[in-house]
Amino acid sequence: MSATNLTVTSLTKFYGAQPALHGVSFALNTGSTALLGPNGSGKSTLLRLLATLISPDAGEIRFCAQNYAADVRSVRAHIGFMPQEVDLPHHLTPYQILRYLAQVRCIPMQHDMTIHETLAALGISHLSRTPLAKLSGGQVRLVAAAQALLGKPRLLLLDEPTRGLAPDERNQLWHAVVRFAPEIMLFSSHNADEAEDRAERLLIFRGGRIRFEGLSETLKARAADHVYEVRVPKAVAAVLQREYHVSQIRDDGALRTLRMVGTPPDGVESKHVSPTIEDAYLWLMRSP
Amino acid sequence: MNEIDLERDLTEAQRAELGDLSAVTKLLVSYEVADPTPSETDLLLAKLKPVLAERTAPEPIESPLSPSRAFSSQAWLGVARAQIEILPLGFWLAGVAVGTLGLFVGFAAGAEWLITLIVLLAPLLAAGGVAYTFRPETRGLEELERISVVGPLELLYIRLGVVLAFNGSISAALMLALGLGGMDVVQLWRLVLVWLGPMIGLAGLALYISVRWHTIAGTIVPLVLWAGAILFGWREIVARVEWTPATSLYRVAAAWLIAQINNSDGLLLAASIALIVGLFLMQQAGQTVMRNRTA
Repeated sequence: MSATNLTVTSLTKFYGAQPALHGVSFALNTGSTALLGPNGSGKSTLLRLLATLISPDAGEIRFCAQNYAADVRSVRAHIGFMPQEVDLPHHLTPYQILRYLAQVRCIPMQHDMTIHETLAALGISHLSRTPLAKLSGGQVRLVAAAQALLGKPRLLLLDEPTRGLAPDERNQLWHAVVRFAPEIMLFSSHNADEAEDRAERLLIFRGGRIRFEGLSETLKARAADHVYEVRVPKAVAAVLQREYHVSQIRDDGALRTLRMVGTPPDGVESKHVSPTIEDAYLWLMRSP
Repeated sequence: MNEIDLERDLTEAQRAELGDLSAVTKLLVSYEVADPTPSETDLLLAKLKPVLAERTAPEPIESPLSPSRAFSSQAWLGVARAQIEILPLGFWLAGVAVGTLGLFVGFAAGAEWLITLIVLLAPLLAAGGVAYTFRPETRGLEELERISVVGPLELLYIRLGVVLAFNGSISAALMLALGLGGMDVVQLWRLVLVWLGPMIGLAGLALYISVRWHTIAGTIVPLVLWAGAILFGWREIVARVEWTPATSLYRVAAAWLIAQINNSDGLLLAASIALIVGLFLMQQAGQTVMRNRTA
């Protein structure tokens, strides 16, 4: 295969008459990309299309110049996917699940070592022989992450990987991802801070279309004039909270400091502040 | 200016050996070392950064995947073996228990009973096994299986093949026992067809319904259909046999079944149709799986 890149051209997917993705195009080189957007904006659909779980109604996907439609099997050999909903057979142990998937994916036969290495990277090697029925929800999600990393895929796709994980489990997961070093990683998240921390680029969706593509710094720069703070009495703050988009609230004695996104209300003294990635995301979602 | 105490960590013997160090101390204290300028600090940090990053970054894991993996016969066997491993032990033990029971019945009660057991139970075992294998609890794994070099259709048929081969081998072992035990009361090829037809027919039905709708329906429909066929046969027996107080119902039924296997071409035709319908339904189940994938 040629240099690692992922090219998506005019990708469209309908569920019945409902469009889930609308002519989405982008190109990624080596690195990590976070997919942000509200529920139903097309993030999971895009990841499932990239994972070859569903087929597009129109458009084209190429990984390292290889067209998905032309030879999906050779592309699959390089994909690791962690679904949003994890529903694995409860009577199986993490080791059995990984061993089974290693066999189905034709990962070479020294995979016992690969399995232990993968589970160890996620900090769950001690649970390798415990049936899933006895594991916590977070631990089961780590098993799902382990199967995605199994075989060190070149293209790693994670659908809300840290949902339901405790902070130490989240840390363990990202640590493992760094260790396995996929050439291209795309992950969806509802946490803008996590997206900024873990990804080099952002793809932000709304209504099945890309609303922003680029660096978090670029997005923050665009939102710079639209984020401000006001310091008002609590009664006024209550009114403002109802009428305006408030991203952060801080009590300050009898007063309350509100961090707001959008246009400042008339008659209230406000000062512009540097937007966080969450402010910038909220601003983008509110923009027409 | 820093205070320097050169004698602090020395032993008495060392102090005696080195003598008066005050002159050396005075000389050292007289040296003035300038603080680094901001640019010198930046330069040092720039030099240290890659080294530190290298030392703190987690060690990368080598990929065991070769970019182009040929799909060998060994790999196919691996996939089939994997199917065996994910089914619970109870599933296999239940099959073995039925086989053992059959052998026991065959040797204890006679060939007629063993043949009845093979013909009546094998389709039910196969249908139940197929419906169990494709139950909803395995659907989550199915999604992950699909991102592999093996296609969903191959996986479906490999899994189906493993289950049917297991059921088939139990019946084959019982038939072998029949042959070895000299219990040749039926023509083997006719018995095989009467056994195989309904088994494939009901297994195909169970698979199609399980994949298309739900595994519960996939279990119940073949069961009801087979029970209906047995009741129909029973009615035939009741209508044709002259009953006396000494008549053993089960012995008459077994004898009637063996007579049908040996003589009834209609039964063979029905078994053949069941076989074809079963294969057709398995093919339709495959198409359903492929349609679901592109949905």
